Amino acid sequence: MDTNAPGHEPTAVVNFRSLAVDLGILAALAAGVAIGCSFIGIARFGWTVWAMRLVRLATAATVGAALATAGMALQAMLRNPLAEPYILGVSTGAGVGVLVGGVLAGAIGLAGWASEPILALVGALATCLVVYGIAQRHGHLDPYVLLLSGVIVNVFNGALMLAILLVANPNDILNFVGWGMGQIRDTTDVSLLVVCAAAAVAGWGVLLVRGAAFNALGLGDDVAASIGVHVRRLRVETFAVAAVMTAAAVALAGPIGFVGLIVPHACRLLVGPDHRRLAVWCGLVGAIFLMLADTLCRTAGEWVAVGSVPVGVITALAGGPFFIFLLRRRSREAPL
Amino acid sequence: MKRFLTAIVLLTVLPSCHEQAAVRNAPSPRIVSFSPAITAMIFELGLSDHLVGVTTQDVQPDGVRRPVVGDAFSVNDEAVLSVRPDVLLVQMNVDRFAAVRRLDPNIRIERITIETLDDIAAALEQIAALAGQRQKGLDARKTFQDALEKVRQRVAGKPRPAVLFLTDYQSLGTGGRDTFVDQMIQVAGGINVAEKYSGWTTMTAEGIMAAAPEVLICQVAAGAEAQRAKKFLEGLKDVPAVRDGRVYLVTDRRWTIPCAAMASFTADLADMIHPAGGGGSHGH
Amino acid sequence: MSDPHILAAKDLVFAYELDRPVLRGVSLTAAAGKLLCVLGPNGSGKTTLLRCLLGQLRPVGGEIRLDDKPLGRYSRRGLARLMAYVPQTPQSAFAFTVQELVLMSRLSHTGLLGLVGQHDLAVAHQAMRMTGVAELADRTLEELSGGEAQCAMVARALAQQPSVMMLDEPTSHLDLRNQLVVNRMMQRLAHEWGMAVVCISHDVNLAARFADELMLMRAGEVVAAGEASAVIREDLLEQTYDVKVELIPTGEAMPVVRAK
Repeated sequence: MDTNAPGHEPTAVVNFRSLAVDLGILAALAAGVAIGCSFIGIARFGWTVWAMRLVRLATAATVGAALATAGMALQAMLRNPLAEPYILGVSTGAGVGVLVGGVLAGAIGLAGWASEPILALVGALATCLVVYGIAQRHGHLDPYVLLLSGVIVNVFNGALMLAILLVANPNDILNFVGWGMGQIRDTTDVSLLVVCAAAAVAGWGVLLVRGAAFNALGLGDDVAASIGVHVRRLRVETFAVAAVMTAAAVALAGPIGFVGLIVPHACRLLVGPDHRRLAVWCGLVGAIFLMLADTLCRTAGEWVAVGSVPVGVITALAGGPFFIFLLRRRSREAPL
Repeated sequence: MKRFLTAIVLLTVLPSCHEQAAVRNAPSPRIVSFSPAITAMIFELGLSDHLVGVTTQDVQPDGVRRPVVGDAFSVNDEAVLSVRPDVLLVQMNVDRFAAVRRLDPNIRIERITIETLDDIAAALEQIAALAGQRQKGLDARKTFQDALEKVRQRVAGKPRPAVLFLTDYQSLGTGGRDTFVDQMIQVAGGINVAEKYSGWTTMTAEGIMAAAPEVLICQVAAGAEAQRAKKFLEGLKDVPAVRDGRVYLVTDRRWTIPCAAMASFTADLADMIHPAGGGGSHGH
Repeated sequence: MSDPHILAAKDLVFAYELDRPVLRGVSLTAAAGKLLCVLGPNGSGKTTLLRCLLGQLRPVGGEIRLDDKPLGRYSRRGLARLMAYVPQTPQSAFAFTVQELVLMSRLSHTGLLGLVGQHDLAVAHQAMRMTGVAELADRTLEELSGGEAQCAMVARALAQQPSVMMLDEPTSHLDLRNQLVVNRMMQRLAHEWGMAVVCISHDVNLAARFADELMLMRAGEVVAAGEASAVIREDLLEQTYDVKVELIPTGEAMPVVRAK
């Protein structure tokens, strides 16, 4: 048996059983949270209310899982701990879509031809295609170039949004600011939810399967290639999957911040860097986190005499301190 | 090439010449409006001749193109000065106009708050007075208040149902205390379920269900959005308004621009809340 | 009959940009059971050569055959089971332990999700024992010294159970003792385990002492190739490194090379 230096636990090997156990426990927890939260709320309980809450919880779970897993994949693909889903331009692209389809269309009399989520989805996907087009070279994505392309497109989109807001009336602007904070709407179309959830689950599955390849990517592109990882294909695939998952999330709930950056880091602090385990944890922890945050939003409004609180506010206010706690706890344990 | 350039120059200069005419000949005092509500009232008072500058959002029913001098957030100092105004009527903070004031100390800046129905009445008088036509203002004010009183009397003594007015079906925005929406509902003989909130706020679907309004009005854009709004609202089956079929969709943008027309909208609201013989939903 | 050749490259030409070729017709043979060291100044194309041999770069001219089959005909996975690579600097962007890093190499041997079984664990442990890092299995790379980390990376490469090992200047950042350790290990891999070991080396003396065959490169061309005694000559070394050298005889088989 290997002797262990003091302070080191033996490395647990990730195998089928350990993944299945992780998945089972977390899935059960998520289901428990979902059912529990469906009974919490301010309206009197009834079948309609319950069904509405379940749809909203399903939306929250989808968005949380999609953002967290996409963030994890991008951090792995780019070997950058600051990467998060919106670096691909998805959030600003969605914003441009919403504004072009809403404010601009209104200005020329075409108001309301598509709902906000559809506009967001179209804007997000179009922007991702633009970012890919800028960053790719013979179908090859260099991490550095990709990051920069995302930054440039984000800045450009931001300016575009401000320009459109110049001709918006204050009501539109208020609505857009509300959207920009990220919130789970009660008006979510169920068929859109089903499509986005299917995309999120499929994407999650792909990222789980690629987990071992992500691990190897940390050794450097050439070592990873020598182990058998198709690095070029992996990068493009990850970009596409993360883009679709993030677009689905932003279409459903606007650009909710914090989840895609911090949940992967928190999970890494809890279960280590293996991306197969991380995929399971990020997906389910992200779902649970956002379900809890949204439930708080539904009920907290009453306490502060406000109708509703955008969930993006809660995620940042609640998640930040929790992550600092995790970080401090870990640095105390690690050897100097 | 030369002919092409000449055409371009003419095309850009000529329209501005036309608009310059309307603006050049405006009678004193020359008024610039920094608010769609104020602009609407200026037109309602019949004082549109005095209007020489507007913002991007103002509706101008007389078809004259006036220079745009700013928007909800910014003031174009040069544009303001170029129309040589005598008075600026604003809803926002007057500090924004410090630069304009420095450049031309003769310009008067009047801040008019328009949050409630009472504010509208006062504003009608104040605007007219500033234009030197106080009597028009007093008349408009009286007409406005009389119309509101008529509505009050119509619904006097009737039981007050719970009413909810949504400004947008996606964000579920509504008006709480101290907004003109709240007052309109009160005058029209209802109780605003959002009155526990102060100012403009948003609701959740659960909040709507918990509030259980008996009459529900929602402002939408026409077309596909109205369909989607209808579908969503009718999905809230536990809400009394939905159960009893008392859901109304309104498409006129002016429902949320406070001006004298509010009186007629309030009357429409009273019709929805207290229908003369039988309910049923219909759009406006 | 000639010795079994495992990796044979013929007349390789490669250029990153159209008018600046990095390799101008390089031929190389890496035989099983032999340690081949490639020497040359910076910019002579050594690393590019290695990457072509690994199949990561596609040469514009010439061909590479592994076990008498063109490199292009192998699948990525198939190639990973035959050739392993140790980079110059051990790095891991994520905080994996040595054991986890070594197990990553089993990717080409495992199925979906890359989950490892008992056999993979056994191979990993054996590889770690061979390079002397078995006791460091639960440490992360950051906690190891330079030599230990490099041995860990060699163990990782070994876990692929390759026939060909490629190392890029494995001892350039190591101290005297660890340089010897790694070089001896490379020799053992070739002689005891029958692997074809190709090593880019920066140290002429170490290469001369341990390698079975040497290759001198300069500006994308092979200056000389063959056994150490044939290649370690003043004129060839001067041509390669563009510096005057002297060969100082020691009592051993190979003299010490010193730049004048």
